[in-house]
Amino acid sequence: MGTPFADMTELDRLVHDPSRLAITSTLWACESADFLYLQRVTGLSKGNLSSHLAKLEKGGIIKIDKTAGRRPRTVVSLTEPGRTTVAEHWDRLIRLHEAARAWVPSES
Amino acid sequence: MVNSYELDRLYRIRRSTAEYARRRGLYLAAFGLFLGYLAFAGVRENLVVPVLLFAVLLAAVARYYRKNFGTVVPRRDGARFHAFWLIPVLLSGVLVVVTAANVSGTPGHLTGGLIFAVLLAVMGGPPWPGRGHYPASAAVLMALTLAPLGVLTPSGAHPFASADPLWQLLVVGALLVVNGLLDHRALVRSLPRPAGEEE
Repeated sequence: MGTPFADMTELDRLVHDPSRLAITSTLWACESADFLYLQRVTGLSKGNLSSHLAKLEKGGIIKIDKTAGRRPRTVVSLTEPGRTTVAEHWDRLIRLHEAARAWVPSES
Repeated sequence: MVNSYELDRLYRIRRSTAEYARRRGLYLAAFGLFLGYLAFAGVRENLVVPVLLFAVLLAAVARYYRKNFGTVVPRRDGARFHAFWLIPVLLSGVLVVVTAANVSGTPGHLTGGLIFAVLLAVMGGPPWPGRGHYPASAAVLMALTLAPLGVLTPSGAHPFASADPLWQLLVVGALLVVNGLLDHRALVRSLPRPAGEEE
């Protein structure tokens, strides 16, 4: 029988990066959030946040809407497949965490 | 692998986001100021000025939050939307209590104290995780309403029964301001300014 950590190979690396995990966790708890809020809640710099958002958008996890006008805003939300991916990833993470806590290495 | 500390941080992020709208306590503080202002008979005679001031205050608060914390659209299946079902229940409850008080001849300040205390407790959203100040302030209001404070006044009447100023409204306003500021403090603590961007 393998260890519970065998499941780790199935973790989605695009979502699992700590910064991107913080971004997707934020977006999972709401319909959408703007750039400023994401910056405040994750503590990332503008450049870092932009870079992570671009990767998530390229991977189809999030959707970015930019509004023009006097005060341009960037509004970010999870796509439907993205929401499913994040929920599955979160479930797998919790399962792994619980399994790791309960796991006792065998002597052999 | 995400460790316990990181997992806790992610839970906190999710909770902060889910509760963002409720933690914007300056709206409640502004409403508390408005109510407190209405406690004075001179103000109630002409409502145009206080309503205009309240509108300006709300606009300033909205601008402050948008500019400093950003905007979050809450989930449509979240607790905030489920809470809308409570409004007709609460309104019906208020109607029943007021009718019962009128029939039984209960003093108005007792009825008012009960209604405001229940509203305060419900506003915190039972079971009040991290919002214990709401039931605490409801208990304070109920205690002040029931305490024999009449012995402290020259007329012997309970201060909450006075017509001007409406002490009960003033106290409710003050409690809303305190609760709002505590919510705002929770928001500021949960959303620290990113490093290197302090003013």
